[in-house]
Amino acid sequence: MGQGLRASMTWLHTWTGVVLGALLFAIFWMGTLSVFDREIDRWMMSETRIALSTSDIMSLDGLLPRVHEHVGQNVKNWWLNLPEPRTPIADLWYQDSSGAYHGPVLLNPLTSRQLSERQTLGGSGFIFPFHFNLHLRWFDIGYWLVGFAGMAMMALLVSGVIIHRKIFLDFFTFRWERKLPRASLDLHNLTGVLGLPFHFVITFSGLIIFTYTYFPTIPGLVYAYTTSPVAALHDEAQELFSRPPLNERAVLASLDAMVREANERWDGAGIRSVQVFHPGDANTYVRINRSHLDAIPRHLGVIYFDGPTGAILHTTDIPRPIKLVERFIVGLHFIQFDHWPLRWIYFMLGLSGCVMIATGFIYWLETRRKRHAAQGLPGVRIVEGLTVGAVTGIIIATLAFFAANRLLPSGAALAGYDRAALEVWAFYLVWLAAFAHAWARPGNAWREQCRVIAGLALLAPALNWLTTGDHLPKTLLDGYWPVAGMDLVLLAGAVIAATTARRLHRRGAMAAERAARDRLETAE
Amino acid sequence: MATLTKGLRRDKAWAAIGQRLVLAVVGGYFLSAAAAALFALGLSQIMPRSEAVMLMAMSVFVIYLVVLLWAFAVRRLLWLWVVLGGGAVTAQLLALLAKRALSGA
Repeated sequence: MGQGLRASMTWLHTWTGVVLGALLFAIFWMGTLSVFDREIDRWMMSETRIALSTSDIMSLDGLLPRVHEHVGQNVKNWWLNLPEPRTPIADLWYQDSSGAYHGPVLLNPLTSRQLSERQTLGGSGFIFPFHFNLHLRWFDIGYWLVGFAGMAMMALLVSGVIIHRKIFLDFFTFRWERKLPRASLDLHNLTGVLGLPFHFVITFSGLIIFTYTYFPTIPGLVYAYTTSPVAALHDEAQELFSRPPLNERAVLASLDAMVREANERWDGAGIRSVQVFHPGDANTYVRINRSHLDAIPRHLGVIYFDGPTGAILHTTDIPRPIKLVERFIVGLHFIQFDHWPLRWIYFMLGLSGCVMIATGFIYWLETRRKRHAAQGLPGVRIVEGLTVGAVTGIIIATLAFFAANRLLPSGAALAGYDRAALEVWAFYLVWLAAFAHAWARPGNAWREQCRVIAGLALLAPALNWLTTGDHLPKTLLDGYWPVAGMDLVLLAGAVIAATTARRLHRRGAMAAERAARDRLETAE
Repeated sequence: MATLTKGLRRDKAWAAIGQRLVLAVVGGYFLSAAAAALFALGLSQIMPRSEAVMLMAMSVFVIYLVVLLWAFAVRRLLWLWVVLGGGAVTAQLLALLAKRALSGA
């Protein structure tokens, strides 16, 4: 490895990090929270805090009349995602005769009744999509920005390894007592090296999920004969079954019997979803998807049943090898399997990625602060505002989103925006304000924003208590972990933020004292 | 910046960085996309075509990553123009011709 390569990789690492670090932090932060998106949903959608035990399996035949109430007769197909341990609700979707999709209609699996209108996007509707499309849907620009940042992240990881001199030693090095540049570089290296496999896999798998958005030419060339190559690819790869309607009436056989048979074939692995095509027609058929709670690859098994007779029409189990590899990689990213220790490890490693990005920024700032001040360069001031807004700012905005969720009354609306949209407005406006504050008060912004985080992270569990009555001792005693866990993480965050703010305050006071002494000495 | 723009004046240095960035990101993208598509077409002769497409749809990120890193490791800009600029145009043309032939058939 020559000096030349190391120098050019250092250049690439530094400038890619400074330019795209803020975007990467936002993606990593939202992605890390998405690990617990369903738990955030339970916290934010208090009407869905349903304690469900495995014995409470819905009768689908009993549910049919209610499905038809919502879906009507002339639809292409409808499907129902069944409740899972992390999602104790069933959601119903359908495609009408014009091909448009509708849903979800949320159903309580215990009563089969519709849950009240969902008045928040919650974790799965706001936080989760934010980390892959930034909610910028115009020309899919959000997807492309995230994809670009993802490629940049891969380049950052590889260049980071190349510029490293002693990767093994850094594994055991964190000189927190040293000066800030050294300590932040140690922490940057520690989280970078320790989390390297995770950061690489999570970035690579995230890119692969949207590969046909980023590289449509690959299926486009091989499936050149059709106008919808990606659909043709999926049809072929998944060996899907389909048949047209006959336009004669027929009655659907027992869905419960089909579910039972499918479940037996999958050795009791469970059912993820049930989809009915051409309902009411003589050629109606039912697609049943295997649960993916017990396996990393998603969509492993599909069985098609003939609607009127309930006989099996078609099955797909293990896909071809490369497709299976793809599903495994995608499954690693989605973590829909049921494994709590692993879920927490994902969460911690995601946070370590956030720390890595933030400390990278801090190292850049601290190694240039004196020089930029001496030469009157604006770089440090601009990047410091960017860093504070990107790091503590997005945390504050997220907490404001949670607080707004508990504070806004049901059915709230303002200037044509409904309640769910107002929560999102709270997020963006607070984030914007955090950036403005960061640029307006350099030197104080870190400390002050840490204080705000501590305050909001205390406020959110309190608001949850006041608005739902589910205070922490109660949820802990009930063992209702989605809400208890969220409150505990918020409180832990409050402690960390308050400690950080106090340390920053002490250091600020020490620096001011030193500066005053220096001034005094020069005056003498 | 020093190593990639050694001996250049300030404005020339920015122009060199700009060229390198555009060639790496844009040229690299079009080169990787077309090359991966052509590889997939070739592989579809020896394996099911859905498998060939998926293999390349995953590998393309590795190709693009290597191209990106190479673009910042190599000294001379001329090399970038030849490999990334020329390569992207050639590969895209080949892919276009192949697509014409396939969709016409």
